Amino acid sequence: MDFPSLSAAVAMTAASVPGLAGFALSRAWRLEARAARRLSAASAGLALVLGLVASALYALGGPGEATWLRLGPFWGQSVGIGARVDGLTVAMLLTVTLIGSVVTGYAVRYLDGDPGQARFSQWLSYTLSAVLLLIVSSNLALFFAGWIATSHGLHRLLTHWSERPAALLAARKKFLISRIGDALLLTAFALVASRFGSLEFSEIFAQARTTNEAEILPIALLLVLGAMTKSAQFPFHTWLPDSMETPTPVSALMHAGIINAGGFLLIRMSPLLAAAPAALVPLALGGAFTALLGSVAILTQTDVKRKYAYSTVAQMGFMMLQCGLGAFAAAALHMVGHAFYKAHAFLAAGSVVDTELPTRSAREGAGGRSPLAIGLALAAGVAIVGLTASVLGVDVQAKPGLPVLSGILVLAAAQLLLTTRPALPSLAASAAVGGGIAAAYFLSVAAFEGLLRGAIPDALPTGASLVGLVPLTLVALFASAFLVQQVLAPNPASRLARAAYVHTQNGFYLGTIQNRIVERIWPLAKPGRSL
Amino acid sequence: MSMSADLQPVPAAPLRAPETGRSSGEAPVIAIHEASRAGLERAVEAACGRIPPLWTLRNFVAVNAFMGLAELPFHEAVREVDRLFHGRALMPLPFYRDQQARGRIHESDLRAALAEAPGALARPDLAAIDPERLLGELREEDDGSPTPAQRVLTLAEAIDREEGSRWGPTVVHEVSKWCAARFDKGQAAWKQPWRDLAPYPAWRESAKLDRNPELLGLVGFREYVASLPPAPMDAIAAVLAQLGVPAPQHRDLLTRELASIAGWAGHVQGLVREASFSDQSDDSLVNLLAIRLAFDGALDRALGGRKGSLLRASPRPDAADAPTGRLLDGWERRSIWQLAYEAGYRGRLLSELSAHRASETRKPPVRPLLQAAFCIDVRSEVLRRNLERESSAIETIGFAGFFGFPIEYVKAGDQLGSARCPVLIAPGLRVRESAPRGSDAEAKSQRARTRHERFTAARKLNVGAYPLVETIGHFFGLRLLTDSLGWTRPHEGGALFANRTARELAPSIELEETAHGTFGLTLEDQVDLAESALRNMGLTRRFAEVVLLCGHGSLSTNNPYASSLDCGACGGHRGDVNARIAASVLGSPEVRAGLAERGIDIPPDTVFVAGLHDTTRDVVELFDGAELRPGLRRQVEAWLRAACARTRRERAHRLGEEADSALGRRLRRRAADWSELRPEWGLAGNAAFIAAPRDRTRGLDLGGRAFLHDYDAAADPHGKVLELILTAPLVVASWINLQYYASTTDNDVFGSGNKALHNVVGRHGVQLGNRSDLLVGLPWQSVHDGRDYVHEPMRLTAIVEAPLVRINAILGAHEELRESIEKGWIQLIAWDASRGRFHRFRGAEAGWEILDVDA
Repeated sequence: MDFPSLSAAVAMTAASVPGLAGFALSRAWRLEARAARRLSAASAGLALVLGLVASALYALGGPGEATWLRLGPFWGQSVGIGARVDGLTVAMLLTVTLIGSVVTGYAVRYLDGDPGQARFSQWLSYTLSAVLLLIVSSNLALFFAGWIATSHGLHRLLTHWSERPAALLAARKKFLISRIGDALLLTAFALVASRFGSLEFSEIFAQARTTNEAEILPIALLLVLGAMTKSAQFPFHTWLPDSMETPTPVSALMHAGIINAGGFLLIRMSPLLAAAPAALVPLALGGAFTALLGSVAILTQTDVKRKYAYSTVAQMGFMMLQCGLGAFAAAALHMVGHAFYKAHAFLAAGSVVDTELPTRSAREGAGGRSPLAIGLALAAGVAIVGLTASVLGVDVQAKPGLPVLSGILVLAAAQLLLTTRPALPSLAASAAVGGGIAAAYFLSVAAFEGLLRGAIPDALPTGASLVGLVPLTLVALFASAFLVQQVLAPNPASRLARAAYVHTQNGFYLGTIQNRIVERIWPLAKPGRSL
Repeated sequence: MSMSADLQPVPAAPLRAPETGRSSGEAPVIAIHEASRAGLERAVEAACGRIPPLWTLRNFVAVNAFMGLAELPFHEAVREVDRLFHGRALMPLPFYRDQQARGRIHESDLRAALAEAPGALARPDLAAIDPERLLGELREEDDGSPTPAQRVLTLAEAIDREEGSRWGPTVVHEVSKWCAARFDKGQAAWKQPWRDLAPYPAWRESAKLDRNPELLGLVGFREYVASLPPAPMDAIAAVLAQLGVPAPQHRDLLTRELASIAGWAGHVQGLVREASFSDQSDDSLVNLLAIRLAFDGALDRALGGRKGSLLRASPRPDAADAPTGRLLDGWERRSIWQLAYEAGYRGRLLSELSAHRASETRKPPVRPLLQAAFCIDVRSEVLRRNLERESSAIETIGFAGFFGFPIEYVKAGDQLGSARCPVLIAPGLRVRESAPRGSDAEAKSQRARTRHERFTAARKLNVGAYPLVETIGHFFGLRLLTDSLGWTRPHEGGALFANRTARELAPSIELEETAHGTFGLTLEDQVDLAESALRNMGLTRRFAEVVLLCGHGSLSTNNPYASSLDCGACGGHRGDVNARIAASVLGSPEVRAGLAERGIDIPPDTVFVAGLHDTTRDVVELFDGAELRPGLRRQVEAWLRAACARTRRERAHRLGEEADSALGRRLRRRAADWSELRPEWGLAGNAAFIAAPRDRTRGLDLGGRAFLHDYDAAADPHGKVLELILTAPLVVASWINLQYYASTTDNDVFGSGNKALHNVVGRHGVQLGNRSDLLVGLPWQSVHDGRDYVHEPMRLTAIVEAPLVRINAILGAHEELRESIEKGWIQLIAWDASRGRFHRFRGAEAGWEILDVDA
């Protein structure tokens, strides 16, 4: 057996272990909590080790694909149990198995004494395997199986405490949104099957290059919409801030692994999307709008977990925006970085009391900044980012999406300067930090481009008519988020700011409206005994 | 709180409709007589008085969950707790029957309880009933729950009961949403506007803009809020009039309104209490009451304006209490079982004490080598017992863990400090953390803090967060691993401060004037505090060569409730600061000279050393004490190590750990484990308070369940020390006891529920899941191990070795204390050790009764 097919086999084993051992075995043996949770954590740890092995094999032998079992044909399509290992698989496999090991290990003590711990551990393993399955799968059928199973497992985890009405409501909202996404994807996959005569990724990508845009566009649009339902994009994001009725480890896995499925789908299908760039326009706009919405809503949130949820909404929006700009490597980088960051944030959510510094009234009431200061900061931001790019020899114009992303780096640097105490040493330190972040950013993107070579398209066809409008819209959206934080929030006296505050705090009422709809479709049982 | 200055309860005056300029016909126009206005104000005050204050997570101090009902006898309070708070102050009957089946409650305990019942339940008629008949009733196999029919309900709850709707939780969520923003301590970057207004007017402004209630079905909410009077008292009067609630029901309804948001009400009560410490009046709680009531008014209006009748309906007869031929109703049966449950523990404790007394043979050394003073905290009992086993040259002392130094402590780089003393007193002196001369630790910690703040600020950027996540996000992959393995702690600043820098910092008692005020203690303060500390500790002669003042604190990771495991006597903080201050004051030659003038001679070779008992890992760390003879220091450390090892083994099984050689390592791991919800058991199990010379209890295994306060009646002829013990440490112990009690009997209402659902709100409190009221009390994980309750809910049994006349004099002078005993909140037992007798206080009239003790 050569390295590539061996690595595919190991990757598939890694994906199966948590489901087979943590879920199937511990259910079949009816293990009690102590044994079940140990098996769950051990199988996730084993998946991590196998993920490392698969990555090493990939590093030695390059990308590989293998299919072991063909079922069907069903409706003219045979379905293969097969794995595909490329740079994208490796990045996500390692990310999710690492987080999966940490999360299942965390749940061992965290749910100790919970009467449902055995069941919880089992469904956690099941869900982990489902996510891994969609990552390693070599065809759309298996991918879809993983996609559905992820949603199924997550539903079981979200309703772990099913006696809590709020838990049920959030889970049902998620359930209904997911079914919309399933329908979109199923249609897309059916179109793929009829157009390309195959569900295998390699086959689809090979043909996509030679297919004209008009034929691919409907498929690409369906994929984009389906991905947006899974990755909490506006208006499908509302279940996420309401999902805190589940144990913390679930939040960590959800925000770090499951929520990425939409983004992963788009990056995985990027060779196809590249053939229909018009589909990327709504993706970029939708992502940017979601990022804006999340990043404004986050400012008013008073509890730590809801804040993290809106942060995820915003980050997923940004990731979708990157996909929409064709910056698929940057999107993958974002997915991985965000996964680690957010998993850690949730698992450490009990520590925010530690970090509270109530005895220092740091910058409260510092007030807004003058237009002049904002202008100067923006100019400095341009200088910092431009300088960093030229030192590193990065041609900002060359890569898809990089101009817009550099614009956002500029805004970030400006924002950093504006929150700094206006004294030279502090400003210099902030400028250095801004330059450092820009440098790290450019280098990381370059590294991910190297890692994903072959898995994503090198360049988007240029000249698509709509695409030119996108960057302008985006920078405007982000600039408005910037202005909200710099101008609106620090001015409690203005009427506009007051109204904006109240609506923002309520997440613009989207959650409430959707809750009402869900309750009508799927009513909660009347409350039973009250003592 | 100056903001409320313009919102003093409005003087009784006829109420006019608000002039809102529009739809004035809609505004409730009512005129109220002065008399009824005064009555309403009394009702509001009474309702506010029922709400116990809640401390923030930074200094989570135990509070009696039933504080607002403490003026009632316990057996009545139990019913009121259910009626107003919808909570259970007694366990369900199956619990007690199970305790009997396990042998925890004996038949004799039940008979003892029956004998107590006529007095304890105010049912003198029971004395004439055949006990067998009562026992028969107690054994009946129902669960004895009263139906909720007699509960006082808010309008939202009343509608829910009629229609099966969910208005109750909806209203709680909306009020909590607003409170969380109003009282946020640094979570949200965009602060709620209107913070310059008092709560009710501020809420009114935001509610006029908030469409969420209307989307939830509260039609016309914004318009209704705009039509409400602008002052809270007027608004309360207006809504009550709109709902047509008769005056006699006002107090109960208003209490229930507040109790339905008991967490936030408690938080606000805490602010009111804080303001009262600086002699300011604060009517924030009245404001909050107006806010809560306004939702009921809006609900009534939204549902057609005739729902108020639900509140007027007289309580329906309680089905469970309907005549069944029983003599005892559900609460009475539970109460009697509870008495039996407590009698069982008390009986065993008293017989152990008296038996132990008989076997006491130890001869005290002329001069001990080590005197170690520990906090009265129940966790100290285990360590003290094990330490004393090490050598007859060791004596231990029990004293409140702030060691008599009530200070406000300001950490290096901070401007404001925290109170390091029992909540009953306000700190009088400020002490600063600083580094010794020539050390740059202070500057270093300052720099570390600036770095940390810059990092935190960068994370808070909204646009900046995206590139930041892509660049630094990857390091969190590593961090996930190191935090999981316990190598690092998720607390971001932790790594920066820990270790060397922090070790060099210490509280400085030196007097200094800074830009932020005066810090340190004058010599006179020092001598005064030293004298009273030593006298109250009973340590005025026979000083050992080493006097260890050992505070306590608990190390846990990622635990919002960490401070609930720390020292209550230090205001929910670790006790090392107070111990170090006390040790350095008592070590000072000037102070000793001053003490000598006041008749306390500390030998020149006596060294005071401060220590900290980490109650998670059961290790003791010593501070300072450089002047100690090296050999002696090693000896003391060896004793402590051995005692700690035995303490760990003793506690291991309750933590579900094996008592093997790796135990210490596993406990360290446990303290560093970010997923651990039960780092230790805190004060779970606490049941007794013993004020007596240590000789009475030395060597006796009290199971880590007793607060031990040293008290030698012979050295306290005027009863001053005893007075302090009964009015301060005993009260604090009882608050802790009742907090554990209530968190056990009804964790949903008086505890903070499942930690796995906790969500820190506003950086100072916890809510459950997506949205809930602020949580009060202790988490379920603090009283229950998943299979069984770890805490036994019993009211505190206080045993005091002192002459009855002296206790009587103190009870006579302190009415509140006497009443809390008479009314059954604390049990007070006087111990006449010379005759081996125990007397229980039954009340000012009934006096003392002798308790039978099995030999």
